[in-house]
Amino acid sequence: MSDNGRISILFLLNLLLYFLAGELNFYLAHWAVHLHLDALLIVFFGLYVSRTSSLLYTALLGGLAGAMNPLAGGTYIIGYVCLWMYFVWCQRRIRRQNSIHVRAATAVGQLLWMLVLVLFDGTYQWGSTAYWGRFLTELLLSTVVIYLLAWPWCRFQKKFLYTLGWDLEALPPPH
Amino acid sequence: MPRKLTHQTKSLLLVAFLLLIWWFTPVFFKRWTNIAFHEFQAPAWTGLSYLRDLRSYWVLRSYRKSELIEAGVEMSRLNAAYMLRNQQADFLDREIERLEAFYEMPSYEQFHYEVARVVRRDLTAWWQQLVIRKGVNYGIKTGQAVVFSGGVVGRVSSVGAYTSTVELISSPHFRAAAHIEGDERPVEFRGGDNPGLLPATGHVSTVPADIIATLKEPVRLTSSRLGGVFPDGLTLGWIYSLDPSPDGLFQTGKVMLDPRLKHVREVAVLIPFEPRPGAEEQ
Repeated sequence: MSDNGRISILFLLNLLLYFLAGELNFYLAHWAVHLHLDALLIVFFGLYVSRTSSLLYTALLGGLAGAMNPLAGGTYIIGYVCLWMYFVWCQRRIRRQNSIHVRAATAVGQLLWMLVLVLFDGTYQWGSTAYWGRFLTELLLSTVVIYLLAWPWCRFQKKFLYTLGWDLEALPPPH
Repeated sequence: MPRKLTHQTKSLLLVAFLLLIWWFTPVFFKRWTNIAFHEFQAPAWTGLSYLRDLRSYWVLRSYRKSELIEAGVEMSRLNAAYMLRNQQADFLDREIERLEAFYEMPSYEQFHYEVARVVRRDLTAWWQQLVIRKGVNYGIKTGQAVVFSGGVVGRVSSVGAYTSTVELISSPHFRAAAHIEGDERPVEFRGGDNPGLLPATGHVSTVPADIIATLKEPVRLTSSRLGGVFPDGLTLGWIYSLDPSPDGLFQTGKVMLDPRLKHVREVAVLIPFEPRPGAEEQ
């Protein structure tokens, strides 16, 4: 199987995670909270397989997520692509073998993305304490969940790639 | 000799190139892409909702016979009560028609209810919306009203081939004309405050100064047909206190919305009856 074929399977895995997150949010709506797992969808593509095909799949994920939200067309595509770039930038600044580094980088990525949403949502509720309360609740929940899941999710994808015949650990980091 | 570009610089250039392409892409193509992405994933969300229904079905199958008989008895009592109320409603409808004909008044808009299951809930700090399992295939159009047993749910914000998106009344973008129950003067309702872990609230403004709302005697805020979307009299929420606005002419207040909005599973879209061709000429 070609590398692009393997990356396509990773895309399908992340697509599954995207639908699972949507299903989880269906039930979390009972408690008026929403879990944002955007950085978790992109972290592996950006941090470990920074190829052109992974960037295109990131843009596809952005398109899918953006189509279900009322933000101006393309906000999610641009945001996801920038998030991918952030993870590529992280490659030489963190140790990708260190779970704490990967977890922290993903949580910070999610934090940045949610701050972008604050700037571009267009509701102008910045003066409302209820809005900031809700935002902080979602931010805290999402970053904690992402911090907990980022490393196991990346490790699972790495092992999955290994079973498909692609040993990421054996490759030198890109220069 | 020029320096070799690093992997990260190449990636940055690639991203910049992609963003540049997106920037110059025509709007109609972006719009088309958005619709294509929506329609592509709609079957998956619908499939997930069917799985949820199947799970509910098997949960219901696990009930004991005695529990089902009890529920059946309760249902038959409710049916009897609703049959009586239907007779009353029929009588009132006929009376309205008679009075409309007598005074030569334009008749109220008539709707039929299209019941739809909720497929997806997106209740975030920035937007509050539902995706329902019916779309153009059931004659649903953008802007139509959506209701449930507790009153108004919201309005249809976009329609796909088999699904529609409903903007909830708790959404910060939602605006509607409303009435205080028992008062004909219009007031303005807008959604907005959605604190986490608590029921959603909205805002009401331009409330006449003589309206009084207290914790012990709250007033009901109902929909108004002035906006052209909702029929009169459907519950939007309850007002427990009103504060005078700076000009002293009006009052503003917080509206407590129905907490069931957060976990509504089935809603009804109000589809106006199209007038028969040539009906106006007659």
